[in-house]
Amino acid sequence: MKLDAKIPSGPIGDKWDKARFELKLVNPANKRHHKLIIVGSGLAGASAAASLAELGYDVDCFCFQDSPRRAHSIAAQGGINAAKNYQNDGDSVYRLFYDTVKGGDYRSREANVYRLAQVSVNIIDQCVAQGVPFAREYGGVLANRSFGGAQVSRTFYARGQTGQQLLLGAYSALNRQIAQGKVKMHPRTEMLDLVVVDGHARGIITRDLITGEIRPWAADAVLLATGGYGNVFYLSTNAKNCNVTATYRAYKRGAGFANPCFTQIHPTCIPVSGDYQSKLTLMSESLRNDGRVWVPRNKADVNKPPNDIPPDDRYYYLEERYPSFGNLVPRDVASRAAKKVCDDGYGVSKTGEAVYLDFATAIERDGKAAIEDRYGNLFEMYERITGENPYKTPMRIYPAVHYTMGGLWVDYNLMSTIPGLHVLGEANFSDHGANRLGASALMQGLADGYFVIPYTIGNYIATHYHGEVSTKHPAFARAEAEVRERQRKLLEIGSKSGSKRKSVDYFHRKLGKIMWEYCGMARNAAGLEQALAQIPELREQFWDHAFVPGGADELNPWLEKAGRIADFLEFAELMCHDALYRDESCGGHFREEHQTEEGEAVRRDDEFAHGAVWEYTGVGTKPALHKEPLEFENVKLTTRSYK
Amino acid sequence: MDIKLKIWRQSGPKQAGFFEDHRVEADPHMSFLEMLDVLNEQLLEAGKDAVAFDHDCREGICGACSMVIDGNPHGPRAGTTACQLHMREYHDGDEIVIEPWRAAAFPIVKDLVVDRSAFDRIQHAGGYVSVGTGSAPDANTIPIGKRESDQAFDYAACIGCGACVAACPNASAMLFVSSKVAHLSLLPQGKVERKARVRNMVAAMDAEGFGGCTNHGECEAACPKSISVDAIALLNREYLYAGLARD
Amino acid sequence: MSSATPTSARPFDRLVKALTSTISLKIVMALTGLVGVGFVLFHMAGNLQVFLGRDAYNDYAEFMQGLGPLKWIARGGLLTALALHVATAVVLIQRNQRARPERYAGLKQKQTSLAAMYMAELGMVLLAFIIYHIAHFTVGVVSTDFGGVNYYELQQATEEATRRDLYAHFIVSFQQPGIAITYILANLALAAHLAHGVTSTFKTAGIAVGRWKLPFEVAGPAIGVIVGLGNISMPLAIWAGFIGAT
Ligand SMILES: Cc1cc2nc3c(=O)[nH]c(=O)nc-3n(C[C@H](O)[C@H](O)[C@H](O)COP(=O)(O)OP(=O)(O)OC[C@H]3O[C@@H](n4cnc5c(N)ncnc54)[C@H](O)[C@@H]3O)c2cc1C
Ligand code: FES
Repeated sequence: MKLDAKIPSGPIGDKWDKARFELKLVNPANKRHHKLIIVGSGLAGASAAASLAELGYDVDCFCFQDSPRRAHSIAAQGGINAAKNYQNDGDSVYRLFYDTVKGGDYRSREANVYRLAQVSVNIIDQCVAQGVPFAREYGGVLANRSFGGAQVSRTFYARGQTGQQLLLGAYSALNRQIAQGKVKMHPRTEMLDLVVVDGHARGIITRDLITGEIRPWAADAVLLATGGYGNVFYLSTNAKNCNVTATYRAYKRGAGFANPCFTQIHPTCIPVSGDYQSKLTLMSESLRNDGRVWVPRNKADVNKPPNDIPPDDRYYYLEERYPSFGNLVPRDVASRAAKKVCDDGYGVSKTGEAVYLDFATAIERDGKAAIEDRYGNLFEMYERITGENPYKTPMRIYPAVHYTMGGLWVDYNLMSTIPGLHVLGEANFSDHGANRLGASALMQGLADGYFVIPYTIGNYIATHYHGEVSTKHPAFARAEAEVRERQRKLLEIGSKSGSKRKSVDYFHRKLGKIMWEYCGMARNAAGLEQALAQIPELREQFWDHAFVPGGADELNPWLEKAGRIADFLEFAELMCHDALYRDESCGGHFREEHQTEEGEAVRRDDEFAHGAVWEYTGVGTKPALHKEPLEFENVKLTTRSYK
Repeated sequence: MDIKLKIWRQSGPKQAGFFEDHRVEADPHMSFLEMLDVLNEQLLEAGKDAVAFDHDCREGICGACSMVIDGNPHGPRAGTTACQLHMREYHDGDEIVIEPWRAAAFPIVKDLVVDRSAFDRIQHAGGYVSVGTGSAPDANTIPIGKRESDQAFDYAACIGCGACVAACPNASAMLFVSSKVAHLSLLPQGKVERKARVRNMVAAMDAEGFGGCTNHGECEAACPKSISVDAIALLNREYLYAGLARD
Repeated sequence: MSSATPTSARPFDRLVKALTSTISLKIVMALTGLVGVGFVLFHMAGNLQVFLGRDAYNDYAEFMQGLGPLKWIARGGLLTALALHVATAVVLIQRNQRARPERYAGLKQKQTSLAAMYMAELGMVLLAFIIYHIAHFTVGVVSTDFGGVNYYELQQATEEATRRDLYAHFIVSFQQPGIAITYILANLALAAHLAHGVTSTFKTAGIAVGRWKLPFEVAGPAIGVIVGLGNISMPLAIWAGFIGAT
């Protein structure tokens, strides 16, 4: 596996211009003869499909939801960053670039991040033109807020539904192309394999989720915009159906998977309430602007009603440990601090895994009306889920898996190690390093789709086009046969397993527990070894006892899930290998062996300033490691400190 | 708490459906869908086919979940999707009847899953501003009053779940169509194409076989995003305008 | 613009499509309904003159009869409006029924009114009543003979000549409990139909929105109540012997 990041030479500010000039173009009249497959209709997929169709390519777009509008991007709440500097508060492309590289704990590629910051400004223009109703000031101009502890106000938002509004914008652009016949949309169609012909990605195999039809699709290039894999933990803030299948199958066909262990744990989520828990709900990060995080100072008080605990007996651990940032420390720091106090026995609620987020001080200072104005809908949501009134008693929160920075390795042109296979959005590994800043995922997804891939795909087509391939090529038949065989096996387990049968969710939950325990907020070598021993066992049990009802030729949600969980059961091992390999703490990856006395993360730049890119070698065998060294020419590596 | 369920089962669009009785032991803190998960787990461990229902985000924003609970689309709580409903709304021993959205334009796929692609097709007909990637002016070039913007947002909040159709005695999709039309026609960006948009979207809506609005207001009551039925009056106005104003 | 619906359809077909769209039909229904409302109010105001006595009422009747071609134009217009109102109702109702072929086990209604739920049934009652009413008072072919006298033909002697004594027909008709009850029930139906219909009309026209919403939401029921009370007051007054006692 060769890792050539294809970073243009020259000063960072000129790289993208240079690249755009050097990238080959496809003759406009020829574009319609080039077929592109786009898997995914989230921000990255929908924006790419629309933009590429506008350019004239012949696009087929796939998603497993019943409508492209329901892709998981719809759920993003807080906002989207852009270096517009509308607030005149000192923001710039360079500052956004700098903050992102630093926030990512120096594990991302400078050139990509700089380009991201550059095109961020165009994203906002594009979205506004589509009719996205961003928040505005009374004077009619766009409003901004500071998000996740950023020092400038560069976050654009649409109430607590930014992702929804942005996705509806991209969906509308997509619809226009569908109406014109330039995009053929295939909802409820799941990609189950990638087809590689002569070393190039030339198609996919899909299952129609309604009829069960399995069929091949050929194209000149394949774009994956299939989102993140946070659901490997079973419980996460991701939508229930998010999964790793598309990227994992591509990995199995030869695409390098980079930094799979980099996961983001979001500090403010509603805690688990019982075994039946199916997902976790994020409470916007903005709550930490006014809420104060605490736990009882005395273990004896953990079961006391919070309002009965006198102020002196409350441990405001973020304020005490990080006096300058206080409650606004970055996500990874806040999450770990919560875990620490809970592990030490100060956690509240019946599980012992929750801390308080208290608005009493803010309500006293600004009045209930002001707080209601700022967070009314969030408080309501909290009450709906927990049945508790956060105006009266402090919220209870706990960290939860939220985002995955790891993903398929891509070069500067968003192409994976398989020529022709391009990867966009959360599915790739590119821009966030070891930790993503709030409001930057939406930015990246749209940057990739609207403003990067339209240029870079042309270069691939112009330089690599090897003539048309049809689905008659034997590679398609082979891949299709493999998909069918796998499906047959999944449907067969149930009939053999008899009374020992378990639902597929049962195995998913078990896998989630292992991953959360050993590959979650804090990791260590012994634990990861444990996980690497337990996962194959669980996988074996799955293939013996997972019960999948129904048949192959109908809507069968359990068959869909079974396939995805089977992939998670293999992928989890890859994550643990990566976490074990990365013998340092950085960003969301905290290795307990590498911390200061006060429990802060310790990076090891001389050994690990690289992307770890894994190559598939077979199920259950250790994948092969490749490294993409990271060079920092513009940002100086420092220790992040929020003291 | 012991809950009795009467759930609609239907193996395919052409097959006859029927209500099936089940019991589950639920916890008041469970969400409604988690209660169905528990039921499904029971069914699966007994080697039976589980109940199919659409869901994804489980936080009330994707619009996937869709079921009529005791005669209420998304259940009894106002402004709440089925996935946000919690079992603490119920009591030990309650019986709950669950059925799919029922409309000719939303054929049943299986059990509680219906085909809502009609909504997408209506959007294809004009639910957009024709602006290609790259051709947008600076975002602050067009000032938009906060009030207009907020109002447009109220309509843009639609999650496309179809509860309005499910609740309407006429299975009309007018609230859905009107919220898109209202969202775009309230903004300067959307004004340019307003006439063609409303004509085409209404034609598409009719072609899908939805009923017409007779101003019951049931859609508004069922809408999990509490979108005002005023949208429909705005739609009618836009339609009249499109018919009367000169091109 | 790059519109989505194929514009290749012939202009005439497109026109037909546009005119028969759900909203267009609703607008036709609203406008014809409005004509009906105007008529109903006028008709009521005219008839209320029965409270002023035989001469006043017969004056009014004579004036109306003497309008000549104007009368026929009005009648033609009203009948056309009625026909369109009914026809659009039939088409829209059919569409609505086809839109929900399979019923729910039970759908809870939260916001609608009984009037709204039974608009079609009320409409059918009203249509039947209108036919009867025309036969009764306008054409005079039913409910005209009481006690062997054809009241429809009855004349009133005035100073110069005689004229038809429709007042007598009016009074004697409503002295019959059956007829009075029929009219009262029909007017209750009318009141309900108007209560929902008038408000609906303005929603369909896109006017009853924002700050105009409440006024029009009140207007419908108010007109319903006024028309209902006004019209019912007459049979009641006659029945109670308050007017026309002989
Ligand atoms: C609760 C929550 C809040 C968030 N808030 C913010 C925020 O405020 N700001 C921010 O910047 N980011 C936020 N994020 C992160 C952000 O939403 C996501 O990272 C981003 O939306 C991912 O977009 P995407 O287009 O890459 O993928 P997705 O939106 O996940 O889309 C994936 C698409 O791929 C399709 N797909 C996947 N696999 C297959 C397959 N095998 N076959 C066919 N189709 C497939 C799916 O159908 C879907 O259409 C939030 C995330 C969560 C969970
Ligand atoms: S599951 Fe997304 S809205 Fe209910």
